[in-house]
Amino acid sequence: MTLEKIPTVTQPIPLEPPRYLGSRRRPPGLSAALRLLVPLVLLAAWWYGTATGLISPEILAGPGAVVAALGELAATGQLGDYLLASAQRAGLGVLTGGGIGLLLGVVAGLSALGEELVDPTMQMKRAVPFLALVPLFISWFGVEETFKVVLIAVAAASPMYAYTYLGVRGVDRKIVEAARGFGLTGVRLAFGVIVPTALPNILMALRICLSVSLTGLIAAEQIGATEGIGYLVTLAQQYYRTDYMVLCVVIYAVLGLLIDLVIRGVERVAMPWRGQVTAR
Amino acid sequence: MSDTVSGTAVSIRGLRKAFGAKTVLDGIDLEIGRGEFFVLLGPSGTGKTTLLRILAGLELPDGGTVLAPRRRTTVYQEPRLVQARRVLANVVLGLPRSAREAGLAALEEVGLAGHDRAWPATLSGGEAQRVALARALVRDPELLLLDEPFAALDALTRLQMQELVAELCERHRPAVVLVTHDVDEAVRLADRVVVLRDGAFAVEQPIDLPHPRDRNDPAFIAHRRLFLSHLGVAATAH
Amino acid sequence: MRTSPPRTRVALVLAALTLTALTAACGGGGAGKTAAAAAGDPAGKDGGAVLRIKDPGNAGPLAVAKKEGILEKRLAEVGAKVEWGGSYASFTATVDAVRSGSINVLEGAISPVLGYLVSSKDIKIFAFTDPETDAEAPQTDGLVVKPDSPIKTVKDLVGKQVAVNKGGRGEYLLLLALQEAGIPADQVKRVYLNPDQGASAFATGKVDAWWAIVRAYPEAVAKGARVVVHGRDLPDKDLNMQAARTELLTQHPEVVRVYLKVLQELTEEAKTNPGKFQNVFLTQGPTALSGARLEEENAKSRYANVPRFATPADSSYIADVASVFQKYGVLPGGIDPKDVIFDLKPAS
Repeated sequence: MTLEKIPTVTQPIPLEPPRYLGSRRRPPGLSAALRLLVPLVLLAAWWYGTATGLISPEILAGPGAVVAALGELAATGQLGDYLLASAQRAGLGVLTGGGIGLLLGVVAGLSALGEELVDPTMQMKRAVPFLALVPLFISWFGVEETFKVVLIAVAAASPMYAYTYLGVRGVDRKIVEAARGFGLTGVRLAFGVIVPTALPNILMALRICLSVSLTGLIAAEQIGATEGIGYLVTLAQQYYRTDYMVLCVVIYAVLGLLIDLVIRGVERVAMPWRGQVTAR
Repeated sequence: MSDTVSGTAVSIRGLRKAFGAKTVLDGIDLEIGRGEFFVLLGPSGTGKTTLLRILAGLELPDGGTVLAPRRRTTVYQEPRLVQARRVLANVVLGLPRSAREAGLAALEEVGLAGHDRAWPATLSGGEAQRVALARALVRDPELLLLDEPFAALDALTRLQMQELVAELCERHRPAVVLVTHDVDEAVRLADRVVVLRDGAFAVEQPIDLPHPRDRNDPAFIAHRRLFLSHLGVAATAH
Repeated sequence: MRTSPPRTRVALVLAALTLTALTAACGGGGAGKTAAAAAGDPAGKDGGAVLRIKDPGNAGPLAVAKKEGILEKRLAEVGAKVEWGGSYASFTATVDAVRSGSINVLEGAISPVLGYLVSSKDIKIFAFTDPETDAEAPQTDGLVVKPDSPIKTVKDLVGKQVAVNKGGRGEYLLLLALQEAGIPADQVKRVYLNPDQGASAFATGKVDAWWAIVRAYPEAVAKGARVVVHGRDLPDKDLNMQAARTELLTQHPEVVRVYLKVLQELTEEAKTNPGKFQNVFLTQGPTALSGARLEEENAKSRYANVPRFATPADSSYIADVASVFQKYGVLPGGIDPKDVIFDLKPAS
């Protein structure tokens, strides 16, 4: 080892506390306040705009009118009935559609044959807007509950399939190889190793499925319904009630928030290994 | 290491760090001189890596003062290369375009001349770790942090890499903090070894042997025995 | 942590089980009903006829009939039943439901069903309601503009945008008004919007004028719109009609007669007691009316004519409406007016 001579350095180098590169844990109160900030600003702007007459009530009903509409709806018991009816339709639709999407996604992600058989069709199906299927579905399934559930199921199947497929493909091949070596095959391999590992993707898909189901509800409940939040949208339009139209928007926004909360909860319960991972 | 470079590279006073109820660093005091090769030895889970991560700015201390040079860089146990960028782009990650030449030189220094256009996925484990080393060197660090950089390599490659690191440190003379649980590696490379146990230094030992060091040298064996006993392993087992 | 993987698996298994159970329940519950509906079969399981009517909403003779179970009782006497369906956001959706057999009795103006009658022999018209002629009767539609609009007469519409519902009463009345005023239809831009979309487009000034019909008209007037012309000022032949699926009419004419009879009686009752026919189910909520709007609807009921059996002579109305649509290319094909009228009148 012959090395070149390094000149002796005498100048001391400046020292400093290392700048922190990680993310700081913020106080939960501040975090919650920041979360509420933008919605509250929007709410204040809405209230100010309608109260001062900057926004005409024909364009956007004020918060007072919307709260009154909510009160009316709650007093007649319709709010509960509507939410329940819609929840039932959306729940059934997401369960069937999501279930099928999950199954096909696992099959396509796991086996080459499955991918060849399933994927092209699902990609084609994904390109078809589910709203384009409404007239066909009416003649196949009528206008009753089956039609509504099928419509939502079809809408929910695509995102669940796509995300599950991606998630399954993303599972470490080495772990699958090892599990196969321990004698796991078929359903036991899928539900013992693959699905739990792909769970983050699947829950992401569930989130999207639930949002899509809200869109599906509006489309489905325009037709042959006597209750439901999509039906309420139709009613508000047919009777020219801007207060109810805004109320529907508010209901949808709150539902979006609830979906997020529920999925966060599910994530915490179903993926206890997450949140304990550090970069070490 | 005959050349002396004066001054301090790392200064730690009363450093404390706890994870929940577990205190991993409990009032650590440490001075590391410029150009000094300092090795932190200890079993898994004793806070060696935590100390290194605090120096790198990846963890916040709970108490005490920590001072380190601004120009510092880390090599991790895994190469941590960006798979979507070529080898040279990985080496000069975040540096101005003018650093290309230095990047090529660094690749040559680690023995990977001509690999600059390769994709990380095509490299062997040892080669990828050499890229990580080049990525650290090209930044001309005043403090080089090595977090068990050879732990994932096979025995032969590990010996070669230790040789390479010794050579490069001799040439560039950064202050080095190496975290390892390999006693021979520590004795082979260090100017000073500290065994970390229960959040404090169990033993601190300068190693004043000439380079290259021979594993069968009685002085080498004596050091090995000392550290092993502090790690709770009978020396005969080795 | 050791308990976690089983917990996850339990959750997954539970989800799978719920899925299967619910799917089964859904298939079992819905299939029987919809299969019958999809086939368009007027007969129920026990062979009697079933009248399928869309949700009557919160006002009108049918709402009262539903609330008091009048049709159920009267139809039982002729061995038939009634099934109340849901509501539909648009007339197109209602027609889809008629096509699939989920509805077999339908009420509305002539104009919107013409498009359907051209392509299908599924339904026939069995009753008409003659238009109000009394000058005191409240108006039910009108070409509305903003109060400060420069449009004073139909002639001022040239070069302007007018919102109408496509292939429906709004478009018919606009074309008729232009025809009467001698203005070529292509000099006025027709903007196709459903009544609810028309309302917001008009309120925000996105269109210059709007032919508001049915519920939209009083809403627009209440918000200060100025009326240029009413349908009643024109030779309007677009009568209100009742239609039913053909197989219901041919196999169970007596059932449809009972339906019409009930409708006639209730419309007659509404003339003297209109209050009973508003806010039938709910006095609160989006469908409930109050104040001036309620008064206006009551006035309409007082002047309303009673539906009567369609006769072969009524084919002139259909021919007139169809000719206006055909002239401007709204209606794709020709139509034989005699074909779409069903003579339900009992031979007495």
